[in-house]
Amino acid sequence: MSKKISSTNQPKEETNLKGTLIMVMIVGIVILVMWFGAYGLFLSR
Amino acid sequence: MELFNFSKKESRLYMAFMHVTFISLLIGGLMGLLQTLVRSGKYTLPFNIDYYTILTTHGVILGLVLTTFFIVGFQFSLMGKTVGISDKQLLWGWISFWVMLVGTVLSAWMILTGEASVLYTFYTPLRAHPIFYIGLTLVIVGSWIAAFTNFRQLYVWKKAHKGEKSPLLAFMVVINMIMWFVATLGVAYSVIVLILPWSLGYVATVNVLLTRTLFWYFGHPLVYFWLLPAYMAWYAIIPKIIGGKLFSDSLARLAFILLLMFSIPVGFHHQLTEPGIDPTWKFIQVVLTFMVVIPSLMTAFSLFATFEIAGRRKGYKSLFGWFKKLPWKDVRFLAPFVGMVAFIPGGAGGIINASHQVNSLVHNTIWITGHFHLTVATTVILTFFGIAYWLIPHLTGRRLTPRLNKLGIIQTLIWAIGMTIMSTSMHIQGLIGGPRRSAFSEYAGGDQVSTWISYQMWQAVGGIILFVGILLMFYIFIQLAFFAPRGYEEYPIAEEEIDAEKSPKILENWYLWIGITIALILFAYTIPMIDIIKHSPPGSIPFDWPIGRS
Amino acid sequence: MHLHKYEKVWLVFGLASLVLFLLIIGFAAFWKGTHPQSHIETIDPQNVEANESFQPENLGLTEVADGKYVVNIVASAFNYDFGKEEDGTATKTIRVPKGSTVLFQVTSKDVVHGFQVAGTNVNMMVEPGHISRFESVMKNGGEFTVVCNEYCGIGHHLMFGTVEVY
Ligand code: HEM
Ligand SMILES: [Cu+2]
Ligand SMILES: [Cu+2]
Repeated sequence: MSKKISSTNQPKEETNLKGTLIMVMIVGIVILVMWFGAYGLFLSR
Repeated sequence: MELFNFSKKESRLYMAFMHVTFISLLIGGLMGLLQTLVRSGKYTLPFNIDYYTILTTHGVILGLVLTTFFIVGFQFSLMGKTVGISDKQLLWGWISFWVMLVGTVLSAWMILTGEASVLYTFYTPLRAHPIFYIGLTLVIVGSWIAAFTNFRQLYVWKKAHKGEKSPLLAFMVVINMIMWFVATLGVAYSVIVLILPWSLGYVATVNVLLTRTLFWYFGHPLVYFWLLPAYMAWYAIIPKIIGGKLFSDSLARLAFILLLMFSIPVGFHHQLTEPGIDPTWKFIQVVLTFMVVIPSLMTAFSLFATFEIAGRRKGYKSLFGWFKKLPWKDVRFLAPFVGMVAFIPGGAGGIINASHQVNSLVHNTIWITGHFHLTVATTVILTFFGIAYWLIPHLTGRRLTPRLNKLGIIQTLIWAIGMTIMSTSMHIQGLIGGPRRSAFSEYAGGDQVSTWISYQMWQAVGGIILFVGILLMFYIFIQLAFFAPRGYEEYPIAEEEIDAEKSPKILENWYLWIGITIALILFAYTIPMIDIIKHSPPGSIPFDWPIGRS
Repeated sequence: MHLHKYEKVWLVFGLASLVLFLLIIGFAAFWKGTHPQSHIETIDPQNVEANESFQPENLGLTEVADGKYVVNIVASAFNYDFGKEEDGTATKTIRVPKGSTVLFQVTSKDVVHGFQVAGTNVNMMVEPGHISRFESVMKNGGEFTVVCNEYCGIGHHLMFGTVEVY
């Protein structure tokens, strides 16, 4: 199956998803900031 | 893609579920408003009504009834649209509806007469009236009938379409119903075998920790049972509304399979601060809980990518041009979109809750309530509203007029504002220790308590705004159901790209996925369950007086 | 199944974050011993006095070593029994010096309760038949409200106490 895909369905020029990458990274940063904030509070108590 | 048209008879079934949903919303919303008012300290309930009667009503009607009715009805419509429904299956649909409704009425009767102020978690050894438990059992049994009807629908379609992959939405519905069935087995066992005989007095004592563990074996998948229909709309319906295509059929299926496998063996993350459970097993379930984050990370990417690709196809070249041009004025998009945004802090908060010892920072504080008003009462509910805006008129042969669309947008904004105020103040109050599930109290007084109360004032402000939102939503529902102009409203289902990659066959290997699901459950629960049963203390006799029963 | 290269970047980033969180809490739990409350010891809820810690004269605060304290508490709807003061009235406030190590031991005579010293990491479920136990260093001074944070009946919000760290 993989052979067929690579011959007929040659991944066309990968779609430009730069905006998507930035957006999900913002989500990732929200997760990191909230988690370390909570963990810091936990340690301070 | 072949889509079925709904017959009148069929639409009537799906609408029946919607009527119960929106009546529940109104009743439950009123209770929510009263809770925030009581907790502000400026208001006392009339007629000697007890706060916890109201809170039980709110939790049961919104958390269990509204969600289950909407989901079963919406999923029936998805199956009807993508694989069709036979007359016999339709009849089973009605049976499931009536069984669930009778169960709801029985439980509601007990709650409203003060015989079941045990909250929606009904932890033993508080004892509600036996009819309350019978009602809950019927709701579950009714949903099982729906589940098996859905399985049958896909099976019949598959037999007629040998070798074809099942429609994506039908696949997703079946995943959700398999998860629901496996999960509810736990709570059904707890209610029918352990609690009901004890509540009737046939058995003297009950094993408290065992009933709690069985409840949470069900309780976490319960929240995924709410979330998955929202994901169905995000993956397979929203792309159509914004004029795009499915991002990836196979990644969507993979995400759902991962959700099935990892949303059940994780219930201990609700029991992290309990005695009687080995901390190593708690930690193992914490690790499994973190696994279930992965499909949600995949979902976040898919959604943004769907938006970006659709925008770029329309010719928006700049980095975020596609974002600005999303159909912000279409409530069918806006409401679910606000739901997605709420899931960012909601999901991040969930990771904190599940972080083993860090859980003691937030456990049973009002932070938790703030958390699930973001996840279920915003993410899930706004997506359900977003679905209702087109589903209801599609079923009643009416149209979502520009005016109703506009009211919907206002509704979404009201909800966003009210929930931001209420949920944020709950999160903060929780971090400084304010407890959940509590009527107004000044405790021993002091600075700490007066700070809590100031946040409870803000929650009342948010609660009032939210209740206005509920009234508006109910008005829109009535309009769409009975008064909007006749016409045709589309049932939006996204198509695949023409040159989409073929989905691997293995994604439909049900034996494999169900097998892994069961194996994970056995791994995560067998040993700790044996421990709990082997090391169980003397059982607990029932307690009626603490909840005001004589 | 084809993954976009940015999706790979995102998933690697996400997974790495999750693994990092797990390493931090796993290290704290298994090497530093900061598990959440998980004491596995049972008791007869109808006869809690059978356990020495919960005999009436042993309730409340006891200094067991220099800077080390034990607090024994019996929870019941809707009260925490912290023992008695010298004048015979029920103790409502526990006073410990800042920096002391305090072991809280709680059990329930009836239904499920919570026990949280709000504003600290002392937060545990209290279940009939089980003993809940959690040791904490009281790092921060102040008055902390003890609240029952699990619903135990219509007087649930009237169940409280105070811990004063001076
Ligand atoms: C008008 C909108 C709403 C308001 C003002 C509101 C308010 C509240 C408040 C103040 C509490 C906590 C009470 C306490 O812990 O003492 C609560 C609990 C809860 N709410 Fe809401 N809520 C609203 C909508 C919703 C919706 C739409 C859902 C679900 C779909 C929901 C589900 C729940 C659940 C499950 C609980 C937990 C009950 C318990 O702890 O036993 N709420 N709500
Ligand atoms: Cu959970
Ligand atoms: Cu309580």
